[in-house]
Amino acid sequence: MTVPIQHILIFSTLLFLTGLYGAITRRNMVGILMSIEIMLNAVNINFIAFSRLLDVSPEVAQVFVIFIIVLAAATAAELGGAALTFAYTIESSAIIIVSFLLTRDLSIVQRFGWLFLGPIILSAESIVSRSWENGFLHNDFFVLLVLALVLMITGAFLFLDKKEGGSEDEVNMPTILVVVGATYLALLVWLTLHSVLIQDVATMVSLTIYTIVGLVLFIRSGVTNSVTLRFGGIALLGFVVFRLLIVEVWQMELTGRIITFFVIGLLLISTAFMGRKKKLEHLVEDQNSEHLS
Amino acid sequence: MDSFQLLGSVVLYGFMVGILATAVVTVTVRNLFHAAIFLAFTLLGVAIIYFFMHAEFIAAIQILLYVGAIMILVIFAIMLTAKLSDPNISQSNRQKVPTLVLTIGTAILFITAILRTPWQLASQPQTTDAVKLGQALMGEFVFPFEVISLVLLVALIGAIAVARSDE
Repeated sequence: MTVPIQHILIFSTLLFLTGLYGAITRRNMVGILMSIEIMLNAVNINFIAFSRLLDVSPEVAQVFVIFIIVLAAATAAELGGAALTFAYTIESSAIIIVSFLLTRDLSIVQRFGWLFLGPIILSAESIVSRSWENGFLHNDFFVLLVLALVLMITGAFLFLDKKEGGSEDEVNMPTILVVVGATYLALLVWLTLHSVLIQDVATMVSLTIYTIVGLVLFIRSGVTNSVTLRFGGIALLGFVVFRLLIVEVWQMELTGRIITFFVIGLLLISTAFMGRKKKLEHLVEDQNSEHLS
Repeated sequence: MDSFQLLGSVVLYGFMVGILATAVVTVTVRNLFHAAIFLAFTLLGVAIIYFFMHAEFIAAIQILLYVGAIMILVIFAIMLTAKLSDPNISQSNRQKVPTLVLTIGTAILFITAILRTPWQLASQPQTTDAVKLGQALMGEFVFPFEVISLVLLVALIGAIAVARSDE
């Protein structure tokens, strides 16, 4: 290779600008497309020249060229670990949403929900991974985060569209997806806090968060009369109480114990008070309406 | 050895000039079908440039995908559209002169920048092979790789959605 890099770069600049000229002056789509192909090729020549002549890793530059050219499909068998779970999650969600938009048939789409079984099984490895001991910004964190968010978004998306349709089933795929996603979020909060904070403090904070979320769900279920929300709230609160009774009381230091009980007790009492008040208001309203009628 | 290298350089410069010429024809010629043919030659020339820079895998992909697949698509699109394949209709708009001025100005700017930049060259030309490329693709760059596969999936489904008849 005896040609200096400047000459190659000048050549690719000229090629790029030729393509730019075409892209601006052509009148129809096919002509513009062809001009853009020329521009892309000029960029690729730059990358290849850098990979050959500059002091960089030659693979990096050529991989970029492949990304520009190939857009190749992945065969999941050759992947492993976090990337595989990522791929499965995103692709499952994409298949569900796109097929729903195309067919508008919820019964078909609900069966696609089982596609998420793959990433969920694979994510077990991330939950028990040892890397949680050294901080939380690693692959496993993002695996769980993406999985939880994708599950919830997909579920919520189907949920909203189902409401427009108006068909009411008892327990169906959108609900399951949202519930599983929420479980993953709760798990994520637990693991993250435990990797960042001291053991006792982390347990306290996460239990408090669970309590708040559970109470919010519970109150919300009182307003909307949703069985799922009430069930979720009860499950969270039940978990907190169970965990407190079984483990925490025997392990924590005295101050930690007192603070946890105090915070949770305060929240429980205030909620019970508010729920009671709400019920009384309802009763009063009912009586009023009966009086009126 | 020296004469071989000299010959190689001359051939490479020759290809560069040829590629530029065919590219210019591609963007200016009136008949779109001819433009597509010249584009194929441009892409083939670029593949030869890759061969000169010892990027054999990329060159093979270039020939397979660009010259083989994308060009066929473009030519199909032109031949199936009556308005596009008619050489009597002008295929350019009225922005030729301003665009030319803009392009030349940008070219001067870029070339000045290229000539003034101190490039940190490697001590000797680097090379890589398909195995290392595959390992990089499946190791360091596996996330972009997956994203790109998703793009491909979306393109597939999008093509089906566009082609589907409305009922």
